[in-house]
Order: sequence, then C-alpha cells, then structure tokens
Amino acid sequence: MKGLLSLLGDYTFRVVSLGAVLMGLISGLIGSFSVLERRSLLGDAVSHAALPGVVLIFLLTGSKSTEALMFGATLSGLTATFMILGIIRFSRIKFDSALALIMSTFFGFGLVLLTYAQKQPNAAQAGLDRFIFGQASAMLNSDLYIMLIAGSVLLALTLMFWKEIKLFIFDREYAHTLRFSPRKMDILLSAMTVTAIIVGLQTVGVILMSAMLVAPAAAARQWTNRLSVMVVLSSFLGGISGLIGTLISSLTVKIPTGPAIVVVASTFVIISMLFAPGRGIISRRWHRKKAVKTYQKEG
Amino acid sequence: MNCFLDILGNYVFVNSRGLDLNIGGELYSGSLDDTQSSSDSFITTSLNNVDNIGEKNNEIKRKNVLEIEDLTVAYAENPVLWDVDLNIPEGQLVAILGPNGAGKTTLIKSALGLVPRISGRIRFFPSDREKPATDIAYVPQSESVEWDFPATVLDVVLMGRYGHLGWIRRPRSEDYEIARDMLRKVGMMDYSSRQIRQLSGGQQQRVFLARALAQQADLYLMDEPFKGVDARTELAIVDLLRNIQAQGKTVVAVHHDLQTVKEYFNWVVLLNIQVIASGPMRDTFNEENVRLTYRRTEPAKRGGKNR
Repeated sequence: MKGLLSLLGDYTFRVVSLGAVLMGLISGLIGSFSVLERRSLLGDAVSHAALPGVVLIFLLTGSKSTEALMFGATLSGLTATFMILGIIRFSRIKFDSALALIMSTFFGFGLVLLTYAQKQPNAAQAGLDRFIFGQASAMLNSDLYIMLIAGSVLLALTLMFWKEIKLFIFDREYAHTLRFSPRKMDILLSAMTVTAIIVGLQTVGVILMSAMLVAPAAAARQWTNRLSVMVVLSSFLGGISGLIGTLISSLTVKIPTGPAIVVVASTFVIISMLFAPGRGIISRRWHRKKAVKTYQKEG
Repeated sequence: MNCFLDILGNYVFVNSRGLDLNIGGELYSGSLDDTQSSSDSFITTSLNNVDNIGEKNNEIKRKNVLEIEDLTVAYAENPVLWDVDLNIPEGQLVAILGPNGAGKTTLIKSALGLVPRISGRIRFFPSDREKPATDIAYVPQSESVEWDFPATVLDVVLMGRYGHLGWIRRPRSEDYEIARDMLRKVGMMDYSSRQIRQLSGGQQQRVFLARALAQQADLYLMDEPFKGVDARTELAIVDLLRNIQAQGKTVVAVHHDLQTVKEYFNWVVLLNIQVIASGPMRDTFNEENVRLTYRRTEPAKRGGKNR
C-alpha cells in the first residue's frame, strides 16, 4: 500500500500511466469498429507497416522526436492501408491475402531499414527499436498532449459520424444506395484506425498493438447488444487495462509495461468469453442443459 | 496529425457526391431502336394501344420510373448482363424472372451503382429532374448482412431515414415515428426493441421491408423479398406490395417462383443475361417466352454478340 502511494506521487509513473490509460481508451473506442467490421487484422497490418516509415524519417532527418517518427509511421501506415484497400478493389485477391502481402512486405522493408540504421557508426539510432516492442517508460509530457489531441479528434469524429459508421458497418451496400459513399467511409474509418494505432505504437509497440484494438472490443461485445454500450465499455476496458498494466509493471521488477497491458486486456477477454451472460460459454452451456432437461421431462 | 486532418478535410467534409446515377433526362419517346430483343413487339403494341386511348386521359400514358439502355455488366470475362434495354413504367408491380445466373440480382445492383458496369445508361425518374435519389429504396437479400450486429430492430428500420437526413444530422423524433409506423405495417411492432440476431429469416426480411418503407420512396428495388419466408409471411408481403402500388408507387422485385408470379405481379421482365421479354404480365408471360428464358444460356449469349 505504501509502495502504491509513493508510486502515485511519482512523476514518471503519472505520465506513463496516464499515457497508457489514454492509449487504452483510444484503441478500445476505435477497436470496436474494427472488430464489428471484421477488419481487426487491418490494425495488425497497419502497425507492422508503420515501421519503415519510422526508420525512414529517422534516416532522412536524423530526428528522433516523437512527432517526427509518428509522422513517418502515419505516412507508411496510411500508404499500406490504401494499398490493401486498393488491392481488394482492383484485383481478385481477397482481404486476408492482401493483408498478409502488404504487412510482411512493409515489415520486412522496415527491418531492413532498421538494421541499416543500427549499423551507422554514431549512437544516434539507439532507441529506434522501441517501436517494435514499445517503451512506455520513455513517454514524455509532450507525448501525452499528442495523445490527448488525437483522442479528442477521434472521439469528436465518432460522435459526429456515429449514424454513418453504424449504417456502414451493418450494411455497406445499403449505405451506398442512400448516397453515403463507401469510399469516403472507408477513408474515414481507416484514417481513424491508423491514428489510433500510431498513438498506441510507442506504448505497446508494433507487434502487440493489434491486441489492443481487438481485445477490449471483443471483451465488450460479450456483455452487450447495444453498439453505444459496447463502444463505451470497450474504451473503458482499454483504459483500465492501461492502468492495471502500468501498475503491475511498476510494482514488480522487470515486467515491461506494453506486454503487461496486453496481458491484462487479454484476461478481460478470457473472463468475458467464459462468464458473460447470454453470449458467454458457461451461460450458453447452462441454457442448453436446461433446455435438454425440460425436453426430457416432457418426453 | 496535420496530414490526417487534411485527408479528412479533402474526403469527408466535401459534399457527398454519392451514387453515380443519371437522374433526369428526356421524356420517354416511345422510339425503340432495333437492337432490342423480341420483347420490343410487346412493349410497342401495348404502348400503341395506350396511345389510342391516351389522348383524353393523360394518366394512362405510362411514365417510366427507370430506363436502362445498353447495360452490360461482366465479372471477369463472362458477361452477366448483355446489352440490356429496359423500361420500368410507373405504378406497376414488376417481377424480374429468370433462371439462376440470369443476372437478376446484378441487374438491380448495377442499376443502383453497386456493381460497376462496362457500358450502359441508367436513368431513374427520367421525366422528373427534381427527384432526389432517396426516392429509390433498395431491399437487399437478408443474407447479405451480418445479423450478429449490436442493434435493435428499431435501429435498423431507422436507417431507412438516414438518406433523408444526409451526413452528420441525427434522426429526429418524426423519423422515429415513421420508423415505428413502418414496423407496425409489417407486423413487427412487438419486436421493435428486440436484438436483430434473435430474428428468424422471415422476420429479418420484414425488417428490411420496413426499413425500405421508412424511406417513403417512389421506387422499390427488392432482391428476392420472398426468399426464406413462410407462406403466411409471403402473403403478408404481397399485401404490402399491393399497398405500395395502390399509392401509385413502383415495385421491382427479383422473383423465382413461376407458379406465383402471375398472381403477385402485373408486369414482368424475363431475363437471361439479355432481356428476353418485358411487358404487362398478360401479354408477356406466355409459354414461348418462358421457354426462351429458361433454355440453356449459351445460345442467347452468342445471339447477343452477333448483333
């Protein structure tokens, strides 16, 4: 308890935990849409595809500021997304194959660039690989502001286009006949996803980022049948995961923050899959058993 | 960040251009060019008959609500629709009839701009330039969506109002009222707060119909509205279609059942990649045309290419 209190007074802990909570809130919010759209793997592709952008910006400008690296990540993330959407649209390659193709190409290219950067004689490149596994403890106050702004923009867009997002995810062709262009909606939703991912990258890293999009949303889906409740709950679970994960990694020795957050979020998924009323495995089993019993009695 | 906002600025906030529909155009002139299939004679005769009486009574002169010219659609290399010319007159219950793979669904989807076309012109309401595209209501096959989506029945029906609202604006209380009215019309009012995933196939179909009705459109394009529904629901839907027609509106529905088509509809389009025949049920739905429609598709396709 004493450790916890002194922790709350610690400046670094406050910055890191606040960042983790913000990251969780944002990815929980946007993740709901990815999961319902059955495009959650797009997040995986985008986060992997961000790597070459990060390294390229560093190689070109020599800057390691979060803003610059995030800009690079956004550029290559968006490029990858539109390449995937373009492949689906203009060729006969299906979504999963297009995804795998672009993801591995970009990530491979990113690793090549990273290796090249790390072979540079000076030490300026140190810490670039924090984007692979994430390094929450390196978070700065200025990073919090970026997250806060990105989060507010995403929340505003969600509220503004709530009706359109709902319609589009449920029935895109019908949305098209009502003159909500699928191209614009695709751009809106993928831009929102890319932003959420880029914001989360430095906390949990390229490899675990997609878990943050999927896990809170998948857990939240188990507990409710209302889209609004699902989005709020998913965001909440994401935020709580961020907080608990940071606590765990700060109170124990040598557990990195990003993976701790992901493990907490995954625990929520397991609990929800098992225990949620209605959709949970246990609840479904129980209902089936009860039904069988009544039939046997009647028969 | 900036670049992200720029992208949204460029694509999202610009005015919705929406569907690529050609609305407006000339009045139906009655001049049918010779590239059309044997169906021409039916339309021409019926129109000539109408013209004879038509001088006194303007209403009898049929306005078209949909004109399709030279429509060709292909997936990969194979044409799914070949050189389709078709006029849908106002106030009819129109069945699109044809064998599997005849392009019935594609015809509706390409008219709506959901499927890219190789060539062709689509004009909705050619005599009325002012009409908005929300006047066309689409009822997709109910399997086309994921019903395990967190929404209630009322949520889905309310989507029928979204076209009238446009971007960003929220449904108003009158939209809710209209949505509830339509649920009542399809006999699903008791289900309005039900989860859509708990619905049976027939109930899903009725929810989609209610959603289309909520658009209060003048033209309804339905893809197999009777698919997977029981006999009672089928009759209820037929009643509903007649109701729509009684208001002077038009229904175009993909239909499968040769037994019931004559009873349910009064206009028919016989389709097998090309339009084999189209016109009033009485004149068009005969043994010869049905035989032509349901024969093997190859000769029809070749005939199309030779023209």
